[in-house]
Amino acid sequence: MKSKLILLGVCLFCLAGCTPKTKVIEEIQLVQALGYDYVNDEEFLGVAGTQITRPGEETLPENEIFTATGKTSRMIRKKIQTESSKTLVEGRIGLLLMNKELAEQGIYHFINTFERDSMIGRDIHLAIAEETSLEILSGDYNLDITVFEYLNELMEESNKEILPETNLHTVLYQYYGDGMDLFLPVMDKKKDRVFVIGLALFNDDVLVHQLNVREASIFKLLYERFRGGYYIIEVDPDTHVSVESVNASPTYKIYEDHTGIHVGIQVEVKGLVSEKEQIDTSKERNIQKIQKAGIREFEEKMTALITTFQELGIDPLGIGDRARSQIRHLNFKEWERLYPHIPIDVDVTLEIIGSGITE
Amino acid sequence: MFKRRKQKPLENIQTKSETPKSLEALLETCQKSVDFHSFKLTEDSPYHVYYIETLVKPELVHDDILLYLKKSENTTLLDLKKDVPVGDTKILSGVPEIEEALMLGHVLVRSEVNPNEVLSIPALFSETRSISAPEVEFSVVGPKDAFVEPLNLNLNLIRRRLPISTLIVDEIKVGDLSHTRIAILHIKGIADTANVHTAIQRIRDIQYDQIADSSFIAQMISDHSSSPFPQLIDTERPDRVSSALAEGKVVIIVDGSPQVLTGPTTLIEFFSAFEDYFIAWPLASIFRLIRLVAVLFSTLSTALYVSVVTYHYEMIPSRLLDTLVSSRIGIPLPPIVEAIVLELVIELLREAGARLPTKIGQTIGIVGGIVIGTAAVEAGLTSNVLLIVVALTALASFTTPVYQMSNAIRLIRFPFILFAQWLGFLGVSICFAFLLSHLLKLTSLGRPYLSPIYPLRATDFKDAFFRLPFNLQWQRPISVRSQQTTRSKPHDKRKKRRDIEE
Repeated sequence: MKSKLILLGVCLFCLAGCTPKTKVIEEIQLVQALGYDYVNDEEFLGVAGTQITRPGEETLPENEIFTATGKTSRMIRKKIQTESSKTLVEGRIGLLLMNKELAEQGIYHFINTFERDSMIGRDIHLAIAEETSLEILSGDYNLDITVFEYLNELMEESNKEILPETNLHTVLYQYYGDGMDLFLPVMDKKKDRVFVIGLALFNDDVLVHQLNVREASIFKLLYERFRGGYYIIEVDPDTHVSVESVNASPTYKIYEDHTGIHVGIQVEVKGLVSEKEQIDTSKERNIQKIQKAGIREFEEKMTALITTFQELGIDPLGIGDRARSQIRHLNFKEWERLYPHIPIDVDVTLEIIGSGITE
Repeated sequence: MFKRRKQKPLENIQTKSETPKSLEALLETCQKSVDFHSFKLTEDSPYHVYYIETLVKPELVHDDILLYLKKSENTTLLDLKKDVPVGDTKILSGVPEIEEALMLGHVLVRSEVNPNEVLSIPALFSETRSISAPEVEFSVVGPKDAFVEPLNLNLNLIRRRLPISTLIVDEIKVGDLSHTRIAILHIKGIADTANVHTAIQRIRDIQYDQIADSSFIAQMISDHSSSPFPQLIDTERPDRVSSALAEGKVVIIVDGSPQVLTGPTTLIEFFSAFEDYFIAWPLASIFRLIRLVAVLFSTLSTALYVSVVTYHYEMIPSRLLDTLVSSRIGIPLPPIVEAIVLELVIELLREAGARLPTKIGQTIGIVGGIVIGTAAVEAGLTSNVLLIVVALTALASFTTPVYQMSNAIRLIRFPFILFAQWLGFLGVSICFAFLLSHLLKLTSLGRPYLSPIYPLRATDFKDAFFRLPFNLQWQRPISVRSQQTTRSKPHDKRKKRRDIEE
């Protein structure tokens, strides 16, 4: 009894200082977004977007940007810290921007730093800045939400509607996984708005190609199952119909026979005609016409995309990974050699399931 | 480390008040009090009459006792006994019994012929307040009578609800000075005899001079008296007590206390209001769940605020971040000090309100709640988010139907807050682990306290976190270990569906 009490006392005395360092919320500078810009081959510019909150809840927090140049991101962080009176913490980073010039040199260095940091969540967004990330992060967008909330929500919205889902987790998965390549959305600032202008495709960690938004949305159809999105179908040269995709899902069928490996991609699209020009959708014939035109258009665009990927030798669709799961004992080295020449068939089925409220 | 120490024998300590050796000495002691009356019946009568004026009913003494005594021609006490029209008269000869009779408001008659014997005639006068509606456990529907102080009246309230001969009442007198009557009730054939024996034995073992209230007994006989958690339910509702008896529990009534103890009990039972049985079961279940959530909220929310604001800035939803930061900016105190100060202010208000008369108490509530709260926020001493959290915490702790339990909940917040400051969420979970292990160790009259959860008694869940309808309540709770486990015949599940055509 007595010895236990003494032990307790000794523990309390000796361990009195053993508490974790506190990070009281108003005494730290929360970095909400991080950007890296190309300076020269040796150095790059780090941009830390934070905000300064004033007491009272009526005003929005003010945007505050810290920048520094350096050779490593840790060095940049140290330099930025010398500017700030509060400790900079990374735990709330929601967006990582890298400028296009930098991405053309390779982004592994930055992803790797993030990957190791236990304070950073796996669901943060990564994006490529068409010009500079400084420009995007320091912009004044005149909204009722803060800049970083705006950028994050923009990313989330585009991930849902236009581009395939990307976050740190998918990027790491695609980077390290065999038979797939990573892709990231591209952002650009025009006047006082930020736009998602396309999808950057990478070979390993180097940016090699960029899709525009229309191509990217076709890419999304091929890549993952989703609901939502808009597509325009050209029925005649002067008749355009816009289809709201209700439900789309791709299915990959990959098999090997004596002639080699064959890849078949089936995309089932069920859509609503939401906007039409001089075409009577109450007639079955016209619906079929739209469907036919749509299938033709989707297939054309998809095949074009896939051909581009094959020519560039990149695999953002992850066909290699899917092949590995469907063909037993796939020789991966062989696959990489064969990939640009494998016949890939795209088969789209389009079903118009409605045309809104008519008559 | 925390084992109970063995109680030292108390034999050599003089605890009892000195008892007079002889009747003469007793009467001499009593003569010192002004309200003690002793007189000869008539000048030539051989009878002396003794009584304590403040204990007897004057009309009874004058109209029914003295009148007949004076008329009586008999000379022996035995004959006199027949002449007095009062029941339960006794002829006593032992000094202790005579003293007890005198102190319980009996009129003593002594004959000169045999001075060692007295005739004791009961004439006790006891003023009681009338039976009123329950104040602590008020319910909108249901019976509106609550226990009062006299034991007999309380027994009457219970006996009326359970008119069966198997309702057994044992009585023990406890307290060397107060001689408090304590009744232990159980239903023979339903209650587990081990529980009854435990209760009786523990009450017999009590060594104390004065018992002022049933809460004395509750603390003295509870299994772990140092625990902040009450281990017996105290209630002022006769309906709750009789339903506890019907479940096979033991009930302890203390004379002079309007609170009646029932046991063995479980933790979950403290969160069930008796009103739950008066309303439809889906509603009752949801209200009970709300109460449980409120208790969890009350214990954890301030601690979670402290740990989130001190350590886990990553966890705050981004929409809430600005609100939280802007409310904290400019506050000179760290979150832990802020939280403890505010919690203490709330406790202060509660104590002040509880000790003051109702009307002033309300004013204190308003002054404290509105004026101090608003002023503290405006002066930039506390953040308004924390103020809301603390106020909700206090509010949530009031949802517990049993007052003793809400006191416990009030207290166990503070270790949580300190642990939260020490290690953040990890600290909160460590503290929770301590709390759980403490609860696991607790017993009530030797029966496990966390019962339907651990040891797992799946059938007892019908009346734990939620209350299922009465047709599913045909079994008594297993944790009480009732001798007769079914309270009614289970419904025939193959019963035909009655159609409208039939």
